[in-house]
Amino acid sequence: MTNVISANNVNKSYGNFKALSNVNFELGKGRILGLIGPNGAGKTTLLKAVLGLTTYSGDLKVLGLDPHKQRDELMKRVCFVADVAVLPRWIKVSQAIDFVEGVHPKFNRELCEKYLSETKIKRESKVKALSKGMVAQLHLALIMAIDADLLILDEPTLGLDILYRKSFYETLLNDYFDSERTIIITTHQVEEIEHILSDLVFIQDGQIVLDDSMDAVGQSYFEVMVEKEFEEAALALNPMNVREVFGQKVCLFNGVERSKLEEMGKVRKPSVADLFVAKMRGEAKSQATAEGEVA
Amino acid sequence: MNTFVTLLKREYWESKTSFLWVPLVITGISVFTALLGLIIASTGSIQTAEFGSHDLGNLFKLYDVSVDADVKAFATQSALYSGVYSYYMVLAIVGFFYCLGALYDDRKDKSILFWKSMPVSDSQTVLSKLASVTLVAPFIYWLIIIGTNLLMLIIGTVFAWLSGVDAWSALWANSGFFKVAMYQFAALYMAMLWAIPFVGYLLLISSWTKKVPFLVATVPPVLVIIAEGMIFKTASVATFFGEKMFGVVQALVAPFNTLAREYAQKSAKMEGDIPIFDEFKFLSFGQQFQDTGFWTGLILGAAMIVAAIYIRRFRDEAF
Repeated sequence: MTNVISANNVNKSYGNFKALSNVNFELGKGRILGLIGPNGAGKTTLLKAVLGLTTYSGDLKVLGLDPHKQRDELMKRVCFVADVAVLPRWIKVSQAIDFVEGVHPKFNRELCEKYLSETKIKRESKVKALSKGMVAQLHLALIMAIDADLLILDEPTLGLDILYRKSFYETLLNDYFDSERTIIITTHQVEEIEHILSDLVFIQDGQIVLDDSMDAVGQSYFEVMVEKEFEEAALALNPMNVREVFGQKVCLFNGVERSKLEEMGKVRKPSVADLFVAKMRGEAKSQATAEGEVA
Repeated sequence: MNTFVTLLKREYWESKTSFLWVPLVITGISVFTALLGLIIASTGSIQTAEFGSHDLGNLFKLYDVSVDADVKAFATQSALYSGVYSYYMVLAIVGFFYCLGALYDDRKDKSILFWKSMPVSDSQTVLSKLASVTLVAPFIYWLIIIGTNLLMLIIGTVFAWLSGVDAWSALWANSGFFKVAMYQFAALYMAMLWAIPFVGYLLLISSWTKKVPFLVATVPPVLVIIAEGMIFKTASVATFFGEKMFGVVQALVAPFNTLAREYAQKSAKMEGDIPIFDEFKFLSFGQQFQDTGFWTGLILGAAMIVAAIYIRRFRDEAF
């Protein structure tokens, strides 16, 4: 099976600033990838490269196409919602629907109407008359009604309330997603999406620091609520990160055997957010902290 | 094809005010002025040197019986035709700002990322904007011009009835309504062809500039013209612009010239006079098509449009 995305040594610089350095990753069909990184880490640059909106060096294939050279072909099969992309303010809701129907062969009008019927958006309103959340809802309804092979959502739920966010991700998973489709999501509200992800990529300073399936993450990363008497033993195992909850140390381990950890306290799968924090702080730093606490 | 029609609709939705409402307002103003003028003029009387004091109705009667058909034809047709000047001027202003905003506004408000998320090539996008300003807008303006012509004739007819003048012989018989409409159609599009270098230039600026397209489009040419004048004591840039602008005027005037020539020939036959309108040095459409400046303008315009597409396609967009 060919990959939906395969990136080989993709690089991108803005002047002296290296936005992407030697990015390698692959994404298969039917996956939901969470692309997580701090602000300015290169998430957006990577997505832009994938969408053919920017130049890069290295080898990048999206659905077997060169995104920059074959962009027109690619956009028939790829949809995206960029975080800062807004719908034009002058357009009416009905015109926006007519427009997408007119230019996109894979747009399903009924489906779009169905999504919109769950909102309070009126067909005759202009975008400038809608609230920020409603604009996002309209944008998502338009994009989700397109039968795309690859859907890219960059902060799709920014500005939406928690009720809509919840129902959006439910719809995304239950109605939209199937084994033929692939989705990439970036968001700062990681905890809301981690249960729907199948793959996880962390990016920092233009480099990929973690690239694994969620299953693999669950098998190699453990979080332990260390009992008081095992604290020293736990810290000796070089946890990636240590935090305190109600005076009890919670250590995050990578590649330590689960049975060994279970002796020291309650073991659970770390949340993506905690894993992210641990990864971003870097192992060196967490080691230093650990040593300091031992002393 | 469907895609392109949708893109044209999109442009129309966005620019409905300048493409439709502005010319309609012009029509409203002209019709209102005509009516007001008639009401004021027909209630007072007008002093003439030869015929003494008369009210407007009487003058109209006098016109109907004393003026021969050729003069009536020329008078009515050139009056109807003259509408094209004011509408084209408005179209030029509307088109100027349309072109400046066409490839800039959506970059400014970031909605370009929405447009770019659709399977529409950048050539299609830019060409749809080009077609909107050079084909669609003039067509709407033309429809409104002929509608206005019709309204003016109807107002004239009502006035003729009120004055006891035969509207058919005074107005309609020699109005050349369809001929004038065709002349106006030809003039609008011929003028648009002359304007292509301007359209191309403005689209290029609109696609390229990072801010204030108006200043970026207008200040450098002015500076270049001034600098050229000061350094080389020449005015080739100004001449180039002037030629193209004169071409637009020429395209608009050419049909009027034809009307005048037709009239001059007829009256010359009758009276043996020398046709007075031969003095005009305006080129006919045929001569315009043989003009080198016309073609260099078209080629330059096309090149700048290609450049505008290229920039739109390959520029790194802020995300």
